[in-house]
Amino acid sequence: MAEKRATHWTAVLLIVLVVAYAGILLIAPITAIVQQAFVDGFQPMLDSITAPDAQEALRLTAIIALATAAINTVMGILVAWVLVRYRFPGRRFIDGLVDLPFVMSPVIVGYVVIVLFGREGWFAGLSIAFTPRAMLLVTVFVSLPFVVREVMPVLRAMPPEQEEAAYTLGASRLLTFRRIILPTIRPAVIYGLVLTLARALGEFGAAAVAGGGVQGYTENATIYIFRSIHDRNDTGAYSMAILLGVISVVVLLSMNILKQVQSRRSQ
Amino acid sequence: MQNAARLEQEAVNAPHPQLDLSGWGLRGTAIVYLLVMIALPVFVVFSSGLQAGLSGFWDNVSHPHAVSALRVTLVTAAIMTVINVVMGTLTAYVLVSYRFPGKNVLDALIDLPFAIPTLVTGIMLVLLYGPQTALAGFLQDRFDVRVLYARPGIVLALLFICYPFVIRAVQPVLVQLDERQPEAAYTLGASGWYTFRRIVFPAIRPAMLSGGMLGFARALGEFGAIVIVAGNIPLRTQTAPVYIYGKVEAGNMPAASAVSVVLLGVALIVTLGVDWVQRGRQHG
Amino acid sequence: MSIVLERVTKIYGTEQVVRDLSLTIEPGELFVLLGASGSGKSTLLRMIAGLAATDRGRIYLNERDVTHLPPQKRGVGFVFQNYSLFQHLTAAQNIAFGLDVKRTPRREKKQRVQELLELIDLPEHGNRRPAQLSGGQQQRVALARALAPKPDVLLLDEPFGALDVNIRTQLRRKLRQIQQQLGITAILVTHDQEEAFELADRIGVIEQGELLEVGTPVQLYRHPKEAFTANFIGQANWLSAQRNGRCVYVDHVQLPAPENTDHLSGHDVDLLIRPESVVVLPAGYDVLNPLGQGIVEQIEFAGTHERVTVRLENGTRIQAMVSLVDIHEYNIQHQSRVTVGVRDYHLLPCRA
Repeated sequence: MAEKRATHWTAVLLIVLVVAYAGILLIAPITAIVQQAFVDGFQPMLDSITAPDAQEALRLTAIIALATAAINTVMGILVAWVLVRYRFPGRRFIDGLVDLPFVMSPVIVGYVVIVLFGREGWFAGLSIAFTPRAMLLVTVFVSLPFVVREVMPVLRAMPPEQEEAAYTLGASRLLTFRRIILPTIRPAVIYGLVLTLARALGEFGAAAVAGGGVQGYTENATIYIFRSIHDRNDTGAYSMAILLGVISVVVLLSMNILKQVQSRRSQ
Repeated sequence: MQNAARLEQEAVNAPHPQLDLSGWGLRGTAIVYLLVMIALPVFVVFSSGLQAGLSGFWDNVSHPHAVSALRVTLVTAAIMTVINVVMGTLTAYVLVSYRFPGKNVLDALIDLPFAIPTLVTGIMLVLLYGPQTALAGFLQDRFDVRVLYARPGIVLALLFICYPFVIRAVQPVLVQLDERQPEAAYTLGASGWYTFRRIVFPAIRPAMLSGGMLGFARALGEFGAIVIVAGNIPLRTQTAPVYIYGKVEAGNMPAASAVSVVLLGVALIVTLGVDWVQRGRQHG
Repeated sequence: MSIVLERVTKIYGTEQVVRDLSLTIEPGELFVLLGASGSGKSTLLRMIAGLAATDRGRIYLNERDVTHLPPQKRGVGFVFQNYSLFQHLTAAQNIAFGLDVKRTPRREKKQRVQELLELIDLPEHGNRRPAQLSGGQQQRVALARALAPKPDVLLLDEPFGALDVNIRTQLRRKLRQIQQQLGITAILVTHDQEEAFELADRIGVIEQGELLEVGTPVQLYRHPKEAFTANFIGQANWLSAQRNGRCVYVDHVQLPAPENTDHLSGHDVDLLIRPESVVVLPAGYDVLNPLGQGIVEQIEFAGTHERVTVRLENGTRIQAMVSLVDIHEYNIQHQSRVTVGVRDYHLLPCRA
């Protein structure tokens, strides 16, 4: 459907309605937090953010986010490849499994970790619960679908002739993957990676339950915010929230730029 | 003749077993990974939830706080979904059909809720509607509506978080919609509204449904924003995820597991529904 | 490099897509596999390349048994119908790919790529990407890419099928020229009979997974052994007849029997007459090998000729290609009374 200028009054009404809705729902809250950044000046926020406990929390978030991105990229490509290129019994079921992390409440995810690895858990001996490792595990879980779902349609659309041509020219499967398939799926992988990072940065519920939220050990940036609120440390909470918000906006911008690049390429 | 051609095409496309050398290794790794990472947790939820036996399960689930938590979750998610489907469809329609100042900004902002941590969302809403703000006072006095620590707050938070779902589901369908169909309708005398009702709407209905249902499933499990915005008032603003959280922290695993089973069960049913709708669209 | 197929079979599900097929292709030959869609021709080609598994039988490339070798090890060049160029690489990089795999030194690689670009008449296009090339140019690059690593055999799967008609003719000639210049053995798969005629040293007609007939284009056109071949290649008039003694009897009409048909003596046969071998003259004229009198039922314009359908006295219909000059000179029109004769014809055993 092509765009047209809104001339009819119903069209104008619709536009105003939609924009007003977006304004109230989206823009007003953002304005509120941006305003908060300037209210008491930067200094108290800066002090709060550079305090050791905030720094520790940020470090943990960053490490887990990066590790998650790495794991999910590699495994995501593998899973996408297997689901698209192979036929095997139960494939549809396995395919459906991929979307599950989107619908499982984070607290349930954390709960599962406790059941499996907690003190009375099925695998208690592995001492994973209440450690950063548990937080990594849940973060990998909740962001698992992104790379898979971005890569799958691109793989599906790839004509098999390209791979076959590479084989007839002497390329092994690994070489073909490296030189032919990987470059083709790269934009999709990057987009999925960005989505994964955004999700990992914001993980709260599952990490809080699975890690235990011990300050200095299993407290990530979002748990720090939560604790700050409970300690009535508003400045601490707001400053971290603003920082995470800013990072998220940067991520959002990357998402948009990548989307435009992808759509231009497919033309 | 057609059969033979199709048969040959399929034979041509079947993967060559020899090129499949490491096939089972790759396949096996991916399958095991997914089974362990995803199927296992689902299994854990259901098996531990029913560990205390059906009667134990029922006791835990029928506790008034548990029932209320589930009800609050379902009601707020449902209300949010209705509003989201309507406004989301309208927003998608407006974005695809018209040019107006600020349109590109709006389009870029739509994905914002995907990027922002839900906890930060909660904080933004607290800042905007917190008890000390003029806005809160205004709403309280004029409409007797409390946003924070009340159900409207929950709905508002969910609306923010699920904002992109319906829009991004409907948008591509509208973009792909063949121009000529509505044009044909106009030449046959149909008004804009009639055309929308009989031509555009049926085309976007599956997307509206699946986007809405995905948002609903997402909203059921929401924790971070609600914990900030709604507080934790049992029987009033305590949702199922918050309830579960409380029980896990308190070490009351049976109670946590029972409600988890119900919550996950509902989410799974909804997801199956989405799949069914989408599959219908492929064949339809 | 000769290619030998020995009782090659491919089964898909419960069907035999390629049935017990044996074939020998001579070195330096351009062999065309001609068949309709679904005939198994593409499957067979892919089996020779190693892109599809062979269930039974053997494949030999230059006396080497390659039946169970993967495509990487067979030394075949393959040109697909479309979509096979690597989109993210330039034309030059595409062509160099096979050389990259072999780790050819850079200078040699560059030289070879340039050589091939010139061979396909695209010397300045090396830096273009496939998206910037026309369909015909893309297929030329695909050909160069397949030839770069100096394969023993060139396999082409309907390479011109997706192109416009004019480009097709141009590229056909180019392919033939290159193939003969390099002396490389090639197998081309197509459903286009005209293409087969223009390119082939020999043609193999394939239908339902079976190799029906092999012969030069002329042989298959003038002396086909199978009715299917006769119908698939060119137009055909069929008349029922009996072969006896030294004659062929079509109803009460007597025609001299063609050479080498003694083995059919005493049998019912099908008489194959190509439209261009039918002579149509106004009634009363003398014709060679007369078939009978008739009335012109239909005249269709066919570019260089008119296609004239004549209904004979005994009810049979015959199609003839009559030159425009003759139409004009003898004033042959709708409903004209004419006499029909045949210059050339062929016998096939009756398939009733």
